[in-house]
Amino acid sequence: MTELLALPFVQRALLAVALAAPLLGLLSPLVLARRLAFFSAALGQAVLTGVALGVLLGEPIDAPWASVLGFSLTCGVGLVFVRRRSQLPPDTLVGVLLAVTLGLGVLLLTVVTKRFNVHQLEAAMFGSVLTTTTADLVVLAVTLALVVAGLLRFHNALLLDTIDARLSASRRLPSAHLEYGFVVLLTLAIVASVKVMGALMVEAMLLVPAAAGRSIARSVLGVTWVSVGVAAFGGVGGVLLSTRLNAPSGAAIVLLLAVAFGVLALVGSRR
Amino acid sequence: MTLLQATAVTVRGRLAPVSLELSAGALVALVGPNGAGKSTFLDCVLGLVPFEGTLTLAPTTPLALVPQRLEAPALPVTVNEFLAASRTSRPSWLGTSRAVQPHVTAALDRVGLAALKARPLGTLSGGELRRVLLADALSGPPGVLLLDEPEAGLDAAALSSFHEALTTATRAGHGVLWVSHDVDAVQRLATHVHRLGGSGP
Repeated sequence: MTELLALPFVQRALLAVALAAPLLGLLSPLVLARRLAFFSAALGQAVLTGVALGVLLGEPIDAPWASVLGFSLTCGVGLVFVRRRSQLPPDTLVGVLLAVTLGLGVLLLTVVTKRFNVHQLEAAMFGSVLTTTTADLVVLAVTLALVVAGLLRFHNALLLDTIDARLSASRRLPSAHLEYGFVVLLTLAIVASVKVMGALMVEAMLLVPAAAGRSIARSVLGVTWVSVGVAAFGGVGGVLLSTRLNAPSGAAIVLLLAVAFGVLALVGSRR
Repeated sequence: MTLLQATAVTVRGRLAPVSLELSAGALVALVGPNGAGKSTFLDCVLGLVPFEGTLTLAPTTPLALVPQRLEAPALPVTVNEFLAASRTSRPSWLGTSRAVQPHVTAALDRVGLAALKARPLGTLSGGELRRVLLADALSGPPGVLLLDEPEAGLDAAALSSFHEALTTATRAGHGVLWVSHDVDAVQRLATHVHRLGGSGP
């Protein structure tokens, strides 16, 4: 184990999950509160489509930031825009987005895989934390700083806004701005975490930690810190497990998150 | 001082014209049968429904709502966290600051609910929840307090506590607009009763 921890790429990977865990663990309770689980899955899918788009537009396959960010933000903000004006249920609209991004993604990936080995795309799909670069760490650190700053200022407004639309109106909360702002933060966090979690796995880190916290905690404070703890456990454990097994980091992290959720749900059910 | 002035406020097919004036320290009741548009009128005041007519509410006048019920929040927001979040931007996950906690405790003491501060909102009874929301409104500067059928489902003791809290509110200078289908429920405290489609005594 000591030898493993001495390896520079393992150290970078651990630093990456040390940044991703509070980033996603802090957002997770608000994803739960604002009922954005399915939406987060759709955004992860949009990231993958963004990767394919970036590669086609000439960006490097391991860092197509402009396309990924541009496409994901367009999808996220666009969906909020449509949702606020549509009579259709939100999950129906997310389903439409998911179908569109999946279809577009498969089409683009078919073209991309003619230029690249499909294994090069696995990193984007399932995570490849052991290949974390200094640039990835900088992106994660900057995103974490932005998210923490945003939550320090707007967490309570975001929380109160989820309780009841009429209560929110009586408090004159800027619901639309809060919703757009949160989706932007969520998108940034998902994009920054793709190297660690993978586009298809990142939703797990946004859902399972708060779900685990909700199982045992009886306050927002409790849920949030259990969520960060579970994300850290899954992240660090997943890095070590994926290093040992030479497996995709996202899959290893999801597995450990599921174990943590199962244990905490069991403990919670007995209280 | 007039806090809220409505002149011929109407929503096509949902609300017949309503004209009323709410002053500081007054409790005005808006009474009508189910489906008459009472809640729609509150939604007009809250800016959630487009309407015809004139509705004047000073932009700086604090506005508070006590709804009949709330859907249980997905997170276990405790009473203490809820009241603290109304007063400070310090995130709930950092705990309540020492500066804010006395205000939260005083607000709960005012409605006799100090023992509930660690309880999540979703576990409160309807009466407890309405008193928590009232405590929240009363702890701020005087403003407009909107009550949407707050008497529903309350037993005699809970109703009595609620009436006491409302009396405290009006004495403190809040203007209360109480919407109900039951004229008997509002008559004891109301300074004026408006019936949808006409005006009462």
